[in-house]
Amino acid sequence: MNAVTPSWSVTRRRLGADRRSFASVAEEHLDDVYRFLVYLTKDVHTADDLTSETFARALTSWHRFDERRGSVRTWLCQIARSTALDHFRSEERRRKRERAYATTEPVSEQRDPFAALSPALHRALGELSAADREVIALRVILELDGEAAARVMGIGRTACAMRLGRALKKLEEKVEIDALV
Amino acid sequence: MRWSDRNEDNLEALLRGNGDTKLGAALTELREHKTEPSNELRERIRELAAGEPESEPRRRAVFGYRPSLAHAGALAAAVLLIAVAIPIATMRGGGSSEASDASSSGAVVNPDARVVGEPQPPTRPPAAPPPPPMAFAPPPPGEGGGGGYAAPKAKPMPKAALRSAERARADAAAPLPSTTRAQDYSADIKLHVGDHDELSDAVQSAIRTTRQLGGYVTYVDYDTKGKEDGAATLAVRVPVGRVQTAVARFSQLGTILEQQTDIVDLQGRIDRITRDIQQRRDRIAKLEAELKDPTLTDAERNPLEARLVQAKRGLANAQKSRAGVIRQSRYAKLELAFTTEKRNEPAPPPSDLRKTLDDALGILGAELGVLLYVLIAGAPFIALAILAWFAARAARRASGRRVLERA
Repeated sequence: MNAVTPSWSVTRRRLGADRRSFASVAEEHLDDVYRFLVYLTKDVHTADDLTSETFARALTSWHRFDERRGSVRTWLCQIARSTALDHFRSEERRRKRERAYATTEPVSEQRDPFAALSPALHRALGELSAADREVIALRVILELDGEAAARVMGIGRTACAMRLGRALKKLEEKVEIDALV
Repeated sequence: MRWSDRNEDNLEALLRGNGDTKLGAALTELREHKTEPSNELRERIRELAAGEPESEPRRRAVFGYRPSLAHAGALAAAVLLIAVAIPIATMRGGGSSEASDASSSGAVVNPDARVVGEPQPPTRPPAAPPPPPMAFAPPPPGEGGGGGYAAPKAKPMPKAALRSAERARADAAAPLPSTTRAQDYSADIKLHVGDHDELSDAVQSAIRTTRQLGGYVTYVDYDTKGKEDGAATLAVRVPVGRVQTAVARFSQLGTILEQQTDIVDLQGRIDRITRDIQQRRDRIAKLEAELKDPTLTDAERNPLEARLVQAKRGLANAQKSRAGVIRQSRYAKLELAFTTEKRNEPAPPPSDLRKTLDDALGILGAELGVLLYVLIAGAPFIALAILAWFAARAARRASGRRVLERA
């Protein structure tokens, strides 16, 4: 009688064996989430904070993640985007308050993440809006396909392609103009 | 070639790094420019991830199905509907069961004879037209009106398996004739027999029994149709004192399908005729005394004699009528109908479980009807809510887009 009935905890571990731990997921996708947020915010410090916030939110809702509805990277980028939008909205409210009360409080010092790029590209990237940088980050930097990028942005695939086209057109124009100058 | 001249395929090639334009070079530079998180951030995320709870994900696929809150809510609603329906159905089923028991017990003929004081016409017409008298039968007693009684008509028996039980019921179902009052007692019995042989035996046995009990047969109709179907009708008279025995014996000849007993009180009519006879006798005696007077002239005597003749004729009629009523009360009229046709078996009463399930399904249907009603009545509000939800989502996305445009 060597047959041993598996205990409940053993059974649970076996059932959950196909699900990765959050630590390994965070380790694997930290760079992607960080890069995405860097392109959205153009600030290393802000990207650092938002990355932490993103993974904190992700950990909270990790048990609800369903891989059939999208990859882990897409899911993390969705959370990162939502976190960044909340940040931008709070920044807008802060700037409005400062304008209303003429506050002279110094803005925290920003650290440019694109300083290492060529001057033309650096300047062009700096002149793009966050919406343009978002789609470039998703499609060019993270190399998401059109469907995944559209899911992250909460729009259709066609709309995503149009946004990418407009963003690249702006980038091309700005790079050429800068080269002429 | 500018960007506006490129199509989507060229865009995809460009994203794959196949472009040789300035934009392609810029994208390649962007891809090669690696912005990596600091070690401090890495450590922070590792510490954060280390705090992952031990618990397994709540939603786990079971046989390919992953439960959701919506599914759980629908299941809970269904369970609630059933949980409400079954107890109500059980309570209703218990009540209807008792009611059906009561009604089934009422199928047995009420054995108590109830004779009303005042004469009333019978409430039931004869089951069959009056049969012509048979040549071998004595003339039937005179028919008479008078007091009325109608016993309730028996319903078809629910089960015919045990004849002995039916015989016992027949004994109990035949009301006892009164021993102190004259009554017109009549009964109709319909019996089922198996085949032609049984039909013939039953008819012969009925005739034999009638004669053994001192009665006589007034009508016989024996008819067979085809190989199996057959029917016979007998009208017999038996002494009223032996009617219970007759009913009990006739009940043994087949399976009782129907039985009905009528009792009409005749005593009041006999008493009235008796008083009339006495009055006529007194009048006759008075007329006879007057006619003995020798001083009467012919003109006076002739009317008295005519009145005496008329009075005697009336007395004779009254006596004849009284004798007829008394004869009628001495013999009970029994009409027996035998048939080989299979009776229409009443549907067996549903079991308690079946009734409970039927009631539960009925209540579930009602609940679904109410649910449908609510859905129809609330459809405009539901549609508005859905529209509002889509509008809010679109507004949220537009707001995010504007925020990113401004950032």
